[in-house]
Amino acid sequence: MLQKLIISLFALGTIGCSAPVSLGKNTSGSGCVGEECVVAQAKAKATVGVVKQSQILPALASCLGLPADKISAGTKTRMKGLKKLFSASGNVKDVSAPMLMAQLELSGDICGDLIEYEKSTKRNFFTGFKIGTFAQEQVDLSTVINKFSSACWGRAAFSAEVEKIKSNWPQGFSSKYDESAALFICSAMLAAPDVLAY
Amino acid sequence: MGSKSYKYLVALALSVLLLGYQNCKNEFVATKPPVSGSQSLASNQSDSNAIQVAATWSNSLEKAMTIYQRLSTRVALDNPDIIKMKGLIEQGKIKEAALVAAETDNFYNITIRDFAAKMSNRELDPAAPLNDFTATIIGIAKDNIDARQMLTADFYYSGLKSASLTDVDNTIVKSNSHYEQLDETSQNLRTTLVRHPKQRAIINGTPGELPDAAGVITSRAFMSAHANAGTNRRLVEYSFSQFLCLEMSQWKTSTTISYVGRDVPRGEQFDNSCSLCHGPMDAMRPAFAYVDFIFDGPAGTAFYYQKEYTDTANMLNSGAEKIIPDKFRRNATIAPNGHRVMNDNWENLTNSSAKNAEFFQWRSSLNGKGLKNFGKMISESRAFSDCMVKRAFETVCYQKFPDNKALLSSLSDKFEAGNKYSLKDLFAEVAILDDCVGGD
Repeated sequence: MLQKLIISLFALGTIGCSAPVSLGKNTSGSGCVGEECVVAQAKAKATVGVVKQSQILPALASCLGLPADKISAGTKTRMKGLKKLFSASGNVKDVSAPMLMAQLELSGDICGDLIEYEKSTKRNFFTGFKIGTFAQEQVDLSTVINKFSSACWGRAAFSAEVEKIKSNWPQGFSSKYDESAALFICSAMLAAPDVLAY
Repeated sequence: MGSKSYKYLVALALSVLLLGYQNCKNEFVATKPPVSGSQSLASNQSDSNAIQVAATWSNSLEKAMTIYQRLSTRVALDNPDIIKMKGLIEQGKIKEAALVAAETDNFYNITIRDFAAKMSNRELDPAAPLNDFTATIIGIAKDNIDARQMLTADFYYSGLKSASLTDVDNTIVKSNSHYEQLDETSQNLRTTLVRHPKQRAIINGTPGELPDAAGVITSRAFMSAHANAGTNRRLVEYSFSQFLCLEMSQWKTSTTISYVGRDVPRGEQFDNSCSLCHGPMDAMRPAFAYVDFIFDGPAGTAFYYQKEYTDTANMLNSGAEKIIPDKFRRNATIAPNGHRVMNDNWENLTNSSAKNAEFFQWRSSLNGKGLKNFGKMISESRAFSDCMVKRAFETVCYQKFPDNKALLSSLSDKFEAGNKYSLKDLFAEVAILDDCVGGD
């Protein structure tokens, strides 16, 4: 079941992609339309960089509004172990598969810290989720996704991205928005490459 | 499979999906993402809204985000600092906007720390553990002290607000444990670090005040990196490469060989090659004639100044040479007529070539006594300003400084203007360059 899900997600994510992956300053080429075109043009003007190893944990805490003293010892220990997998210089050429895996691993830990924090204060990212003593209320997944992207991607999610995530919401969660669902959506959002891109 | 692993795998799959989705948009470009000017638009689901997103995409907001991220760290789009910076950028006050980011804790805790840490070790590793060198440069930046003092000051920064000298000597002079503890406990360095007058070292066997302090050159970290073993020539080489951004291959020159040590073989190879480096380098080596970094039993591994050396290996040390490390006398029989270092008088011979004179643009005395004079000579050169500009650019812009002499000159002029030498201002100037964050 899980294997099928992952394979289908891979397939879905890559179908129709003919252009090669390129890391660096680039332009969109001709023929782009609408949102896609503006994105490409904006990127063409920008200088490339990725979040440095010294920045990654403060960046995640900062974008999530998580106070430094709410980062758990477990997350700090995890970061120590993963540190070398992130870029020391911020050069985009340092992007690697282990770096993306490390990002995912770290995301799970810091999301756990965020859930604990919101349990003890108020629900911000997880509005409507059943966490701690908060009861489940109506959850607008689009809003949750946009909250994470605006906070940690440096931009709002595109509508197609929101739809993609929503349409692949695991059946196991259905409309049960509990701590597992909170951990899932948070980890997924923080594991996106946009979190690393400056 | 545990539930946590399951969730991670699903999250991984989703992130792959997002990556795949981005690949479909022509090419995935790992670069700074554009910012939607209206967050609410992004929650609209219909594709027709894509054009609206495009129409409201805000260049000033994107610029604010990019500058902030480069100088500090990532924050949410609605962070008050970002809103403030966006407003300033729209008023054309882009430098002021950058200074908002340079007022954040993370500018000092992350960006200045990376900038300093890279200079503090032989491997040029920005992830090197916190130490007295890095802490002192963070302190100089946060207190907006003239950056030239980085190489001349008689102070250091630590988190010890009211410690006894014994504590200082045990945790800073004889080990790096104080700084490691600051790291372990994730201290906010901007608020924790305080300035202390009078640097300390092991003076003739006993912890005490260093009589010839030279900023971070006389930090334990710099000595640990470059005065450890060797012949103390590395201290000259790395002083030039770290603070002037010039490798020896760039400044070697034909000059008098009267200062070249007794441990350098003479001959044809020496005449044609070795002398080009050893000539100017060995003439400055005496600046470090009284320093050593060694393990010495109860005193620990520390920076020693004017230690009295016993004749452990028939080094014939006596009289004035007693306080000069054995390493200056090692292999003295190779070229017995070579220069014998008897004190800390040094001379800078690099100006023997016009190319070097242009490189360095020295502005103070080219000979002197000891470390502070040496640090003063380096910090007052134009090459020092150029080097700080290049290092700031690399730290903030994640790339080498472009081959653009006019830009370098302009930034160095601004750095030196009014004798301010402010690292905070320098970083703000660099972060707003089109070459760094992209043009309009």
